Amino acid sequence: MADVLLAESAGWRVLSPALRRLRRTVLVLGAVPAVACTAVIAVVAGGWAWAPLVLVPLAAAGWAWRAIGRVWQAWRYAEREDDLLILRGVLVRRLVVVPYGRLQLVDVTSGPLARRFGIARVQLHTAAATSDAVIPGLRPPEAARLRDALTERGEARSAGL
Amino acid sequence: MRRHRGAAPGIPAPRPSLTAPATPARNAPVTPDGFHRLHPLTPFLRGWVVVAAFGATVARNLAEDVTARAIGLTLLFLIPAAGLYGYTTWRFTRYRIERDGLRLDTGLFVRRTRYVRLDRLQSVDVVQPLLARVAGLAILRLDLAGHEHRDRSDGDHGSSTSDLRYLSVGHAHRLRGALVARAAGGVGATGLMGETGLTGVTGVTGPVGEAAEAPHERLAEVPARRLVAAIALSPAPWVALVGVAGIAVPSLLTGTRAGFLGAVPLLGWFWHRTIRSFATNYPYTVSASPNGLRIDSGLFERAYATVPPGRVQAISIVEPLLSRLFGWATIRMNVAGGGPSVLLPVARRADALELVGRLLPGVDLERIRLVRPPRRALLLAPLHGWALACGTDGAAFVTRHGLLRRHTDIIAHGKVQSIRMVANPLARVLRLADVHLDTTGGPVRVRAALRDRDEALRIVSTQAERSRLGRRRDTADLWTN
Repeated sequence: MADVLLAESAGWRVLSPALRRLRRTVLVLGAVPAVACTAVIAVVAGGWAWAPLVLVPLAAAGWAWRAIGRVWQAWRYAEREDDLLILRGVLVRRLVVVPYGRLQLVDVTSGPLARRFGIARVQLHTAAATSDAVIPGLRPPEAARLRDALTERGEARSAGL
Repeated sequence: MRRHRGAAPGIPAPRPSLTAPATPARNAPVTPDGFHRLHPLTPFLRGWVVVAAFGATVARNLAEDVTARAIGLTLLFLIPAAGLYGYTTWRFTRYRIERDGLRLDTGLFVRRTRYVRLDRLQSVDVVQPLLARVAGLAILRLDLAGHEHRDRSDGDHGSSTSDLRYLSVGHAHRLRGALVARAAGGVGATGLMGETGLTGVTGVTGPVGEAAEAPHERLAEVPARRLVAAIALSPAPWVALVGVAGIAVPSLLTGTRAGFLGAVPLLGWFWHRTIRSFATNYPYTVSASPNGLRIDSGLFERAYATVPPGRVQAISIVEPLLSRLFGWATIRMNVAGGGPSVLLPVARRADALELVGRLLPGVDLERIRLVRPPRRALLLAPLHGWALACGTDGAAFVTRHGLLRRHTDIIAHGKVQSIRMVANPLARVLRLADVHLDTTGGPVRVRAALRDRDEALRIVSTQAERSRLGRRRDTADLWTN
């Protein structure tokens, strides 16, 4: 799917690597205690024979590590003349087309953790609640640029409901 | 005031003559600065809710030993309190028509001024609940844009309806006519009404007063016999009846009375799907007026809704299995900013198609060829896959789904909010994908399910183009079509 669309419209942009770094940091922060706990409990309760049980959280963390990378890589967006395309998802692939004229508001949010990593999240709202157009990891200057560009084009092409 | 109430318990509010100058009965009271008050009977109707709630509490606690004295004592406090509350809310609620909107002040301690901008107005409804109808009153309901979430201009916690409750029926209709006419830009867009509104003898006198009941042309009606037949053909009442029998018969045979309690919700459901459904849908008229589409309905509780045709976003023709044999359908619709979700409870298919053509200009369902998804889609949807189809022409996109209860969903190209293509893992194995054409909130969802992947991509890209052109043609900011 991606290749067809890539051919169709050039100018796909990817998310900032900082998003991947953030998610992996959170993963590591969760995984280390999990592995440690498993190790302690397994050794104390069952003895050294149970030590390989540690592999379970380790494997899960490894899988999540890889999944984060793939999700990050699959998430991309492109500004076309009249609409914004968002392509995302690894298992469930989604392609969202939001015409600029339909934009009602553009939200840029950045939580404390995201600010530390220097990323922001851009969400587009149309009159339809199901639109579901989110770009999670952008550098703040890029997010601001996108927000301004979108609102500007939205006003130029604004259509009523 | 309290004493006055204490002397006459049962009257939960003071006499209106205490404050407002004597006004003609037909109009809401007017304060000197051009503000209007709601109808003086308002606190009685609102206070009724409190009394009913109290009654319910008493009834529930009846099993425990609640003496008549306790109830009397509570009433002695409750009624003045309710009366005072009702009176103050009435006293401090006032509204005024201003140059480009309606100003509504509420609240005693926390003053809240709400300004309803006429150009954001989506629809104006007159609603008459049963009790209000008996008293000759009505609620004027103003729907604003931005129903789903925060709006750029309206930071009011997402709520986008403002009710004026209660007004006298005649006043409500006149006010609706005035607001609708001004929102449509027909009369007094240049401030003609602004003057009358500000000097405000009644607020809606003058040229606008006459525009209140704009001439309308009747489009469709629901005959009582057809509605009864459609209700009888729908499965819900029969399911409820069978359920009641299934619960009641064993408990009758065994002689346990508790079993009957289980049947109560089912009976409620039965009542809801038969008598109540009939009463809300029976005198049902859809008519077109310069101010938009009018829907008047209800046997006991009357509702008068006005929907600008330009605000109808998507339409769904629903044909339940048995009704389909008679060629009947229910028409539902999405209205921007909220509004009635049913366009016609029962209609002949031909009438339905005509109505669709009226509301979405240029759309002719008969002309649109529906294409079934590829055969391999049946692997994922062995049953309802047989009913799936979608098609398009220059004016609208149409999808069909539902094996027993067939839905035909129609959206005009210019009304598409966003386009989504979704492919879950199973569908991707079979090279299939769904295409959603998003629309505003409501009962209609337009989804072309299980299309071939390349076809879905083609739909997405061509639909983006068609919607762009459709939007250009769309002059949706006008109320009229």
